[in-house]
Amino acid sequence: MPVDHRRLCGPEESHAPALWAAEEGGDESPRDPWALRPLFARAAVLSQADGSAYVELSGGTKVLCAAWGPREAPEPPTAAAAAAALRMGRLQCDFRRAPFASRGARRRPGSTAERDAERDLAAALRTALEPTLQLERYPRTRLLVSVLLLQDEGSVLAAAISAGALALADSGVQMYDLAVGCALCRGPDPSAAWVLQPGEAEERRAAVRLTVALLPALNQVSAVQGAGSGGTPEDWAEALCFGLDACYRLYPVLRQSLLQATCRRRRAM
Amino acid sequence: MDPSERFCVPGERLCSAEEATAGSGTYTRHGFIFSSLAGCVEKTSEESGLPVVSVVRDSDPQLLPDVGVVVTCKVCSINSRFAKVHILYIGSTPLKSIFRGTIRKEDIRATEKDKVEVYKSFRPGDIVLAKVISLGDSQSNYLLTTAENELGVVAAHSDAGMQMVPISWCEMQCPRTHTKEFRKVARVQPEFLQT
Amino acid sequence: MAEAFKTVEPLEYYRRFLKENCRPDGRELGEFRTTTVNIGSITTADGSALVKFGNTTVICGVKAELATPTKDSANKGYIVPNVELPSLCSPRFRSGPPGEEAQAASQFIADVIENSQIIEKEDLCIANGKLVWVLYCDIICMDYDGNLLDASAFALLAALKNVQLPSVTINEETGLSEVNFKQKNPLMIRKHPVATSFAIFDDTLLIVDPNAEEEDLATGTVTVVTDEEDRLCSVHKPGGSPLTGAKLQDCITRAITRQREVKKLIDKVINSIKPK
Repeated sequence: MPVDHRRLCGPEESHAPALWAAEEGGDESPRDPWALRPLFARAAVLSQADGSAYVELSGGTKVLCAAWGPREAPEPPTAAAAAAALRMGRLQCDFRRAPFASRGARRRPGSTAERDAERDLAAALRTALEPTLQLERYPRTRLLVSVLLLQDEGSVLAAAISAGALALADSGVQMYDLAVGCALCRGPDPSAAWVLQPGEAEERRAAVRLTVALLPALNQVSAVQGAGSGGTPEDWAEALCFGLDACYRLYPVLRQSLLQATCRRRRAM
Repeated sequence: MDPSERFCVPGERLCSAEEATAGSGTYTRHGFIFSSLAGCVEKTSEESGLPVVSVVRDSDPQLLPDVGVVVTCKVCSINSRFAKVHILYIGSTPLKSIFRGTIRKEDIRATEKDKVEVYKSFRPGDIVLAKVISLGDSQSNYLLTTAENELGVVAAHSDAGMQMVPISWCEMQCPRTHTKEFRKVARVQPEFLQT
Repeated sequence: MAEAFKTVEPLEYYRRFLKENCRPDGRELGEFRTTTVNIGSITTADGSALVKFGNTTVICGVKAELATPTKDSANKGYIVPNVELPSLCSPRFRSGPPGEEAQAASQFIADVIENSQIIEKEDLCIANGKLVWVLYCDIICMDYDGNLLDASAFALLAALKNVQLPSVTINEETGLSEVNFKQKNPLMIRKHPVATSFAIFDDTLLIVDPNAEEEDLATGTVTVVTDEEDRLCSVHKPGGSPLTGAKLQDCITRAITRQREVKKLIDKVINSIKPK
């Protein structure tokens, strides 16, 4: 295994104590599939970023996000990219998961698996957020969104999408709309119903997982990301509607947090 | 705070495009005006025609260098063909991050362009007023010009480290050693004198 | 106009404040920013703490895992600290593997742990030569406004004080270890090392707890670490302008009072969450 010289590594091998623990009864009480976990959002929380937001889902998922307005873009690698850069700006996303964010074993920062997972999350985040931005107003520049996942108790990407949209709006870049993310999943049992905003355990057991992102004011879907097997097209369509409906229910909370931050900024002047 | 103030978030529908004209911080879609910022809604009534709806934030909007605007920049390197600069201000608004620009030899002054020499016009560290002439192409960054009387060097340090005083449109003098150095000097406008 | 002066001549701008014995953010030269600590907010970690020095925010999460000890220190566990400066905390850092500053900070924290004996590594031993605890202490900066080292060291100490380890027994018959999450024990914290950083201006002037702007303008920094018995654990001075012995003595004296204040703050917070 390659050695990471930039970090202090500790022993070559170590295991989470849970491996040796007696299995704990994982029976959770059945939950109302319509119920949403209470969401806490606060914008303008960081000093060094142009805009920022913190989103916490009841149950423990904690996501912090920073955004920076237009900055000089690095030299585009190809002529085609350069031509595109002249027309519109680029959104760049960075996603980091804290090594202590998950239950069980510590995630090794810098390991291949971790880097791949972070890259996938960053790409999904970019897909969901890009349609919210008026990028044609910012030629030759890049906008930056950087996310730090502090605690993973499920529905992480959805929380990051909501936080990212808030941070961008807080940074003062011109946008078409906010974006609201919501995750849902379905257990392996064929008769299982879709559950909104699954927790980490529910996600782990799920046969199908889905994250939708909605631009609520424009009523457009900016991203749908799903994985899993089973289910008819009708079933998936139903899930999508279910998820979008949840996004509409979450929107007022996000909007309110942004309005409060705007008021706070105004008062601070 | 004024209770009549209305705050909005991006994507919020402000009014029909028939009732007002879309101002800054807004966009129009399907015959309606929407907010593109999280900020405060302002409606100004024009004498003639429709009122203008705009959304303002208290922090300065994130300006970008655009064609025709005057910028303040700092020279970072020169060679025989051009000077490379960092753009620091747009008008009087400081930029949050640096953008790079280029002043080509032929854009330094308006007359006798063939006799211009870059090192007799700028030195690294000089503060220069310039105007954006192009956003550049795929190879270069912002192109700037100083080919106007009001544009050129506004502040420069001599070899002795003193702030120099302009004595003509092409020379500056060190107040301590009295050595003269060549520069493309800007005729300073009163509004920039206080700095 | 003050804004313009600050952009064009930041150092000169700053010196004008220092002449009046104050700083642009309103602090006196020897004044710390408001310091707060929040303990145990990350439930996926075995111990965690969030520390704020003004805007600077640092979180430390400790994950405990089991490993076999090395042959030459068969009764010692491991403490593995890492400091990360993600792109989120400041535009000056890029995404990707830790840069120079993060690596230097990790090494500094490792040195503090080693020199201060904050935890006896023997305390982490479960079965001699067979099984020991590894404490991964991941320190992440969330908002970088200067004085990373003090905040990191503080977050580490507070997080370690929050750690609860499940009890582990080795089954005599099978030789396998059994972990009982229902029975948890706190770590034995032997020492309370506290770091205090100073920025040096114009080779002579010392200001305490510098913010990011001050660090950028300063000609050097020095960090002094002391414990509750007023013993020096570490003096960290990465280059920069020289410092006289007398000035260094001043730093140590100030660091000792700071250690008291921080210790008091930690004790208060720990006690406030203890009754249960």
